[in-house]
Amino acid sequence: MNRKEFMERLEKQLYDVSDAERQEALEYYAGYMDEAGIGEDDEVPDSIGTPEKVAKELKRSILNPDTDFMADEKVNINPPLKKDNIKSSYSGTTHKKKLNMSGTELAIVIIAAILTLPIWGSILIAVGATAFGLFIAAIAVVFSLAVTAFVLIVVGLWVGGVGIGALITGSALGSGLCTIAAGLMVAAAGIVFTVGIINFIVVFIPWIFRGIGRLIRRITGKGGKA
Amino acid sequence: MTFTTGAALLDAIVLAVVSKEKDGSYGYKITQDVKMVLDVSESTLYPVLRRLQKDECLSTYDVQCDGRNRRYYKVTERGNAQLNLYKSEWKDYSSKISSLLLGKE
Repeated sequence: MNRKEFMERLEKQLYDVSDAERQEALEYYAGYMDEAGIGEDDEVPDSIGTPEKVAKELKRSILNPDTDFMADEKVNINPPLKKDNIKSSYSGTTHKKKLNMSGTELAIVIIAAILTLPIWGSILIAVGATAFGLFIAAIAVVFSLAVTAFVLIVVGLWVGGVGIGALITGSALGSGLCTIAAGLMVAAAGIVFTVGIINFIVVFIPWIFRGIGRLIRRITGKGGKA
Repeated sequence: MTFTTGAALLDAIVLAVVSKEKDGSYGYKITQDVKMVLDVSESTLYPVLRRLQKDECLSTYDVQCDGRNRRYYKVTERGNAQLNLYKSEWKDYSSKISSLLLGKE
């Protein structure tokens, strides 16, 4: 990039700083290049940096005057390896390693998982069987309650019907009324049961499934760590 | 260079470099002088000069030289006071670090 291009790009990069600020920066760099003997068509040496970098540093300085100016520089000068060395020899094998597992580490974990399969495999099967059992039990409970409710409603209506029949034939007035009342009560109990079952289904089934999910997660989580 | 040079240390270095010249110094020369001891880039030094000027630690004046304008930076009184503060702080800080790191008194 020659000086002309450099200055044009720098001006563009500084579009969002004040006119005075931009003017001063451009004058500074023009003067600097004059002193360095860089003509309009001469290449700008890399040591000056790209216009983007120059603009970025200036803007950072305008926005936050106490910025650590050479923070970027350090990355260029100091090989990043050094810092890593210090870290690994210092803080040992804590969080970092768990996050970025190397290829060999990953292989060891997989092999260990396969070798210990008889242990955690049986645990997994037991957990699965328990979950399945709970699931079936829940369905059975719901089914039996539903049957109970259905039977109560049918019996109640039937008994009520018998009572009405007794009234119509006029065979037994008092006992007929009693039978109707009893039948309606049983039918009402059946309806209450039905509502209860619906609530149970709506509220408890998802809760049971969530609970099973949590249980599985917890156990597999522990299995992974061991 | 392994150690970072923070904003305050850069201020101190630039003030020291400029104060060495009786009539002040200009951007290119200041950069060259600093670069003799510290691996800084040009893009680092302009913001430092600008900030020191804003803080009234440096003042500027223009000199015509070979048919073009050369902007000189000069340490103000305020800048001098700041430089003296930096000097004593540095003495204290560097001796402590040295004694810790190198075992010197």
